[in-house]
Parts: sequence; C-alpha cells; structure tokens
Amino acid sequence: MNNNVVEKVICAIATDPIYIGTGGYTIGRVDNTIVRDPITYIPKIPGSSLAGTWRYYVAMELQSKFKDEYKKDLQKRKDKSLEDLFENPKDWMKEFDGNRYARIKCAGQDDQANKTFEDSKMSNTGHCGRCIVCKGFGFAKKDISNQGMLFFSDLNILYFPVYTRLGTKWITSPKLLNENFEIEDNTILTANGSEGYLNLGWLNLEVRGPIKKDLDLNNLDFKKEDIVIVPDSLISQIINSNLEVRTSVSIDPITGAAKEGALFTSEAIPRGTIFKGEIRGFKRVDNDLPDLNLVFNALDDTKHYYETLGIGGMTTRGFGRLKIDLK
Amino acid sequence: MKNLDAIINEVGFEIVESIKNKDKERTKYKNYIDKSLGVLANDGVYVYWVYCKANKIDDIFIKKIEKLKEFVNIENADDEEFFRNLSNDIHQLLFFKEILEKALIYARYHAKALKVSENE
Repeated sequence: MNNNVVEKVICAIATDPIYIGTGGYTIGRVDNTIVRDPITYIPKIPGSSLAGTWRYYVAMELQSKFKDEYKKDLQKRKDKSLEDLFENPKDWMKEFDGNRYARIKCAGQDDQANKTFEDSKMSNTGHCGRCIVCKGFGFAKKDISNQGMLFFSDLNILYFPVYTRLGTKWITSPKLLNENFEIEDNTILTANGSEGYLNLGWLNLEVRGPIKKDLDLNNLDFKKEDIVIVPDSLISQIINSNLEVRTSVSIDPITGAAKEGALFTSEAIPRGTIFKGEIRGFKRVDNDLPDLNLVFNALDDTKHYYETLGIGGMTTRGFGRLKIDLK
Repeated sequence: MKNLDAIINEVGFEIVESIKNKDKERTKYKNYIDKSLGVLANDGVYVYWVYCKANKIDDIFIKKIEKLKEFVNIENADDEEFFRNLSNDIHQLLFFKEILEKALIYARYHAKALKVSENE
C-alpha cells in the first residue's frame, strides 16, 4: 500500500443480534430478511451501514462538545477561537478550523443539497461541507462536492457461534480466515482434534485433526479451544442454519392482545458473532482537508456509541449492539 | 437437462393448490407451511420428515415434494428409506435441503397471495 492510503482493521463482536434488512427485495423463510453476500450467501454488515452510523456518531459527539450558547446559533461562533467554542474538546475537534461550522445535520442525508457551498456556510441545516464530518465522510453541494477521506469495507463474519454438545464453539473456514488449512471434505478441525464427532447445530461432523496454525484472535475474549474450522463448502449452510429467528406480533391497543394476522418473523446474526473489515484513509492533496490522524481519532473516539446505540434495525427492541476494536 | 427452478416452482404451487382443497383444514395447512419451513431450516431434512409424519400432514408436505427427489441420487427407496439414506452424502443432503426450503418458500408466498385475494 502506498503512503497516501492508511489502512485500519476493524474487529467487532455482536453483543446483541444484528438485524440489517434487505429492504424487502428478496423472499425467504422469514418476512424480514437480512443482507447477505451474493456470492457466498453469508450474512454481513454492509460498509454503507457502518459509514452511515459512524458519520452520525461523529457528528453527535462533535455537537455535544459545543458550549450551549454556540450549539444552535452559528453566527455567534464567528471570531471565536475553537478553544472557546468547545467544552473540553478533543484534539480532532479543536485542531481543525472547519469544525466551527459543524451542525448535527452534517450527518444523514443532506436536506439542502441544492444550495451552493458558500450558501451552506452559516445555514442551520444541511451539510456544512467544511467540518471533519463532511470532509471525512464526503458531501455534495450544488457547485462543489468532495469524496470522503474514509473508505469503509463490509464487515464480514470471521467467527460464528454455534451450539455444540461441548458448549458454544465459534466456526470459521479457510476462506474466511484467508489462510490455508489441510482440511478434508466433510470433516472439521478443532484445537485438540480428538473429539471424534462434533455436532454443529443439526449437522454432526467428523473431527479429523488439530488446528496446526496459530489463529489471529485479535485480543478477543476467547481461546483457540473455542474455534472449529469447517470446510468452505459447508460454512454458508451452517451459518444460515444457525441464524436467530424472532417471531413478533403487533398488539391491538384496544384489547391489549395480539392482533389478528399481524404476526411477522425476522432473522438476525446472533450475538457473539465476530466480524472483520477494514477502513482505508485516503490522504488527498488538498489544503482544506483535516489531517488523516485526526479523522481516525474521531472514529476511535466515537466507536463506543456502537456499544449503546448500535447498528441496523430494531435497535430499540434488543437488536444492534456491537463492540468495535479499531487497529 | 432439468430446469431446477421450474420444478421448485411447480412443487411450491402444487402444495398450495392441494391446500386450497382442504376446506375446513385450510388455515391449519397454511400455517404448517411456515412451521415445516422453520423445522427444516433449524433441524434439517430428517426432522422435517418426522415432523410431517407426526402432524399427519405428509399427504401434502411429503407426497407433493416427490419431484424434488429426482435431483438426488437415491434409487427405488420408499419415503422412510429415502430420508434415512439422504444423509449418507452430506452435499446431497444440503442440496436437497436447499431446494426443499426454496419450494416451501415459494409455497409460503403463494399462500400469502391466496390470503390477499381471499380478503379482497
């Protein structure tokens, strides 16, 4: 990789089931299906979901640090130093002057995309095009648009939890790990390799030997003993057979009972699933851009929001929380 | 050459067509599409067969899927033998599960369409 591109690895563990819907363009055994990789049919978290939520969390954190008198009124921010505008600002807030134009509307869809860059400067709504959020994640105004500095990949499943007779094990495959393992068709590898047979959900597979390589566990809270390597030909089937499925029903507010015909089902990636992806930072030659380190600091500083507010749908109903590690 | 999707389509359609003729038991059978689909996805093909037998719905959910059996290599077997022997080859088992699941998904949506037109 050249010097203009910096890559950070994201490792994430789902602490709730994760539901990221397809938007209804596919049918399945459940009413609300989740996003899958079209090639492997393995569920994933799309980079766009990650970028969208992270943009919102950075904008929210930045907004929360403005002193009360400057929060809404952009006119009052004029001629003030950045130190004066913020209460205990972090380096990524006070070291980039464009942040004085930041507003909460710098996240989400730009509701004033037809305004010019200049007209957006002091407006209370729409993307400002100047702050670390707009520069980092990109913006498009009527006359000027800028590609973001951050490039998010999808978060793909690295280890997937499955119930077995020996407790919960995390399955993975050579392709998911991007490594070669000597694994025969229809057999699996475990840490000690002497279990004989092991059931992964409803499939009972022969354990053919130990995992001979060291695995990249990314400081995760489990050991090599918890890992099972399955062939690439079976991984998708096992994952799809062990997704969480929830059945919900609408409640009739008059009777307080379930509403007739309002039963629906949703599938989700179960809690405990470990994902891996990357974020590339692109140092473009442009004086108006913030230092890439500041942009990454902003991400690092706001990743904790995923542990409370989460990602995807139904986050108010027990879904979506994620613990993110960014290296 | 056999057109896989056409057969799956046909099986899904025929399941719902047979349910249509069930008069009083129509709703019960319609609900069994979702239930059997859940059993198949969570517990596999053999359990699907046992579930259909246990609930006495094999007249539709086993008989109407006969055409799918042509796609796997188990010859001259009765139902019990077929479902027992299917798991001898894991890839055959997973493939059959996949096409059966697809047929039931089609049936599920055919049945939903039925509900809408009934309400209209």
